[in-house]
Amino acid sequence: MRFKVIINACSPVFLRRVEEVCAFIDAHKTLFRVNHYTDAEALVFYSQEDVEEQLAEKLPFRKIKLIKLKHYQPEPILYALEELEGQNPADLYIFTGDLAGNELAVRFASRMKSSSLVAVEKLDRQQGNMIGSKKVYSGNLLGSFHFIKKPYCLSLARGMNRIETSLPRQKKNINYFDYSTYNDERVPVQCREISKTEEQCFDKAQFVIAVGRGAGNREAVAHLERISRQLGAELGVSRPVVMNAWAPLNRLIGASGNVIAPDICLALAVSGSPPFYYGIENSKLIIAVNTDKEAPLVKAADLVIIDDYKVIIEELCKLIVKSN
Amino acid sequence: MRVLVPFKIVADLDLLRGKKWTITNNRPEDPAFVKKIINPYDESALELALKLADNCNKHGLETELHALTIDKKQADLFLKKLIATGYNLASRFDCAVDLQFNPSAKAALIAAYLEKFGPFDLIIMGMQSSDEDNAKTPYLTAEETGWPCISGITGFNGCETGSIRVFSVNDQGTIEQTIHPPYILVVGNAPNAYLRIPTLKAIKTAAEKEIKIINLETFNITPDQLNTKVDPDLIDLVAVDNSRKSLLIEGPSAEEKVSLLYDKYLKGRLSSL
Ligand SMILES: Cc1cc2nc3c(=O)[nH]c(=O)nc-3n(C[C@H](O)[C@H](O)[C@H](O)COP(=O)(O)OP(=O)(O)OC[C@H]3O[C@@H](n4cnc5c(N)ncnc54)[C@H](O)[C@@H]3O)c2cc1C
Ligand SMILES: Nc1ncnc2c1ncn2[C@@H]1O[C@H](COP(=O)(O)O)[C@@H](O)[C@H]1O
Repeated sequence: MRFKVIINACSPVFLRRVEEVCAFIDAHKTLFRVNHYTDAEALVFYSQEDVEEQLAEKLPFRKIKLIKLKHYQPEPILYALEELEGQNPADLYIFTGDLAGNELAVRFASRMKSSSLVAVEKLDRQQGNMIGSKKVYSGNLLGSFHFIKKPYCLSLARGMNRIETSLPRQKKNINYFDYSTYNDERVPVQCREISKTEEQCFDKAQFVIAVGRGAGNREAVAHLERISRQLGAELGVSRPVVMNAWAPLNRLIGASGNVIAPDICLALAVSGSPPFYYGIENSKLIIAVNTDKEAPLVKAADLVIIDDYKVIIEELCKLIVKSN
Repeated sequence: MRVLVPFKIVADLDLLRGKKWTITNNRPEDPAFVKKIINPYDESALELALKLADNCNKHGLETELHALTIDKKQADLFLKKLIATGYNLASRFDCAVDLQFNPSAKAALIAAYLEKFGPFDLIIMGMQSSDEDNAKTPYLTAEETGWPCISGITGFNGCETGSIRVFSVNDQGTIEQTIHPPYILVVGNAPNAYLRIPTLKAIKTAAEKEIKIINLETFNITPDQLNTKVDPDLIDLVAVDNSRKSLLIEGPSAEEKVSLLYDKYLKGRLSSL
């Protein structure tokens, strides 16, 4: 099966996405008929000046097309993909597990009049058919989808497994393309980065305190943020907390936010609906504190305390501070 | 400025949390019995469109807001409510074909609506429906219409000059772009964008207004044409099991429960972090 990988290196966290893609390829080696993720061919889009050598160094693929853009925009990427791949497409294209990956997978497939699936967790071949699995019904169910028309275009689910990657520079065959002069009067030239995604707060977090709507109000969340800092934990929140503007979006945990894997996840006043749980399920130890013993997180946690989170966190603080 | 907001009515799946799901012919039975809501991302899209209209009106710019859903009669109550919140027109595409997991067909219908009842300046959509989880319809609509789009929208403002400042969040960070319609704006996790509650008076007035019902004949589209658009095809559906040990820490007081938690499970772990 001829497959290629599409990477958006305009994003400061693209290496994380590359590691996810590589782990996905490694988990599907038999299906893709490759020995190693390095056998993949990659089309990599970037926009920063003079980063070609850095990219060439870091990208772990044998065959790389490095494609320069003015800045990240789906339109020039789709245009380039059509031009570079349209005549002789691969059988399958893997896009990354983020918004850009979703959009590009769907729109490229639409231009190729082919099949696309977003947030794929697994691929399989059944009776000659290619099947992709992904969560549906807000993470309650796993759906299997039969791809019909090639080239199949898929984006990965958010926060999939990662592996550390490397490949010596001399083993790479790199071709350079320049689409930075792509001109489309429909798309804005004015594009200002208000804040860049830095190394994400949860990347190295071993202890996360995850807070839900049951916290009650903005002040309570701010208080929990202070407590988290005091205890050496990172604060994560559920979607309603972000929607109520009690905490910023970069703190969101879940299928549409951060997928975390700390040693300890202390979940306070969060019900544990599947889209939230998706974000914490790789935690080693999940502790749920909830007043409702029927809350779904109660069954999906390792340890459970049924009580008011305010009293519990106060007591816990006392103990941790005392022992330090 | 004419704005179209395609939205979906879904079962409030949060109400099914922790329940066992029954699946028949690759469709879950349970959502049918649960209270219906506007898809959470679409609720934000609908409210952001109203905010944009408020802003335009303040600057003396006229707006016309259309809400559109492809659905059966169950949607009419919601459409009336949207008229009460300030939508000028609420339309329902009654296509009598099961379009679950068929985002291509939905995008084609949205594009057909646009062509017949346009021109529009903006389409504002949610980024994902909570049941199908396709996360595809807006992008397919962009391809159908040839309009550019921006995803991960958290808000937008300013329409004094006919251009709009759009804020979005993606892997890269938070980005501000100034766009000139036509555009498709795909709304993500947008803070402070719960749909406003209409006044009683507005609800009463809206009750007398007509909902626009359209069907496939209006567009000369046959159900077969929609069915051929299913790709990829859903072939299996199974429930996801998230259960863990779920050990209950009990004690006569909160203090004792925490003490047990700390001594037995946390102290060692915390000291090795
Ligand atoms: C497509 C889609 C994507 C989504 N993505 C995400 C996502 O990425 N992340 C996310 O979080 N959600 C996401 N959601 C929303 C998700 O479905 C739930 O609505 C949300 O996770 C619920 O958040 P919550 O648990 O904080 O709130 P609630 O469900 O309201 O739960 C609050 C909990 O607090 C408990 N409680 C109240 N007071 C106290 C107290 N004093 N002490 C202890 N416990 C108390 C209550 O018993 C309750 O269990 C998504 C939804 C959709 C449709
Ligand atoms: N039946 C529908 N009627 C109108 N708009 C829809 C419908 N289904 C999906 N949409 C729109 O498409 C977005 C993404 O849905 P989906 O591609 O199904 O995840 C939703 O947030 C809506 O804005």
